Amino acid sequence: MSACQETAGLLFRRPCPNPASHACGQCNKPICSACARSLPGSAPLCITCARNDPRSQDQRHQGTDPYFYWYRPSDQPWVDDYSAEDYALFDNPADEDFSLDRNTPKKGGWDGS
Amino acid sequence: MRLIYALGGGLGHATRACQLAADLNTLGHKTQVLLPAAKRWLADRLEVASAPVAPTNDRQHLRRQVLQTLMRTGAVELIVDALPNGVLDELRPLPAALSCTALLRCHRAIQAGALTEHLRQFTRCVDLEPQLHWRPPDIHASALGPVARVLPAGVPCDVALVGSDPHLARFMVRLAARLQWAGVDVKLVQSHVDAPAPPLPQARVVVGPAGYNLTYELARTRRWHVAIPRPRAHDDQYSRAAAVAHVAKSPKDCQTLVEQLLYEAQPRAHLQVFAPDTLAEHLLREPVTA
Repeated sequence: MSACQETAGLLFRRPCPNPASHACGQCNKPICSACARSLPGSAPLCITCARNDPRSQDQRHQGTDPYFYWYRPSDQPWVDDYSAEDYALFDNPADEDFSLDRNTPKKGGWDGS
Repeated sequence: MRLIYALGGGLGHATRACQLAADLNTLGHKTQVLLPAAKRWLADRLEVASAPVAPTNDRQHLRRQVLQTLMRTGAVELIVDALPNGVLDELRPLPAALSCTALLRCHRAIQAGALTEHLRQFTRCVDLEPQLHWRPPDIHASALGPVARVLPAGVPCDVALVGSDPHLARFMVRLAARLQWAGVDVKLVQSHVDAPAPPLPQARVVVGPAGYNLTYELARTRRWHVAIPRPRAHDDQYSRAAAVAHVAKSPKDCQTLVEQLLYEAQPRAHLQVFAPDTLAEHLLREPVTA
């Protein structure tokens, strides 16, 4: 049995250590069962082909398959659990004057001066 | 007797001052630390004598406390760490008949010229962040370089997320959830200025603010630093992060930087960062008179 040839990682490409159990229905690449995805009306595909297939929208939208976490279609609203408060952390108010804050010491001292 | 002024700043600031005092004591030079009462445990842990100060927003009252401590301890030198004019400007003017040393890092007020005259009153200045080129050329200082302690060994993991304030900590929780879902071994660290913190996990990538001490502690140990600079009254975390760390520009950018550094980056380049005992030796070697 040949090795699984799928290299789609969760975040970045990396080789799969499993033995192949069948072939991708589109590119015919040897893949293992963990790297196979069933899409409506087709033979199992490798993750790479499934990501590019519009029929994989369920995987993208449900967010239950980590291999599809980054591959939501760009025309779909990303369910973003970062809050406005989180985004505000990345504003750069470098030219503002924060010195007014220093006259209100918190309990314990003048922290973060 | 020397007195190190370590009011203001965060946990790293007080830690470094206490470590410097301990090193000076080891070298045979009696040194005490002036620090907020809530941080006295830091000095106790290093067996350094401390003069705790209760927090106040009364400049005159704070100045009296500093001067009384100088008299009581019989200090002949005041070493001011990072905030040359004090947290409430209470060190302006400097106490008379005393050698005063300023340990300088990038300071926001220098751009407006507000500190220039005051810094000239110091007997000597030591620049601990010369690579940021923040100091005007007419402020004479010996350019030593960044100083940071060696981090104690922590728990190994892929990524450590340091939340130094509640706002940042809440974001770190959400970031941790996403990274963990993608299979990354993440440790959250809630760093609080008034409480002993566990050692920073031995992570390949650390996400956190860009305070002086965390930034150079990570540089010293060649760990990747994804910085989320925080606004500070005196410190300029934005300049430091841009020069030394990777600056995250959004929540998603932060996540992407972590993943790139974790999986694709070459080892971090070496940056010369000195140990606190090098600073102690530098202070003893450098002439006190200007």
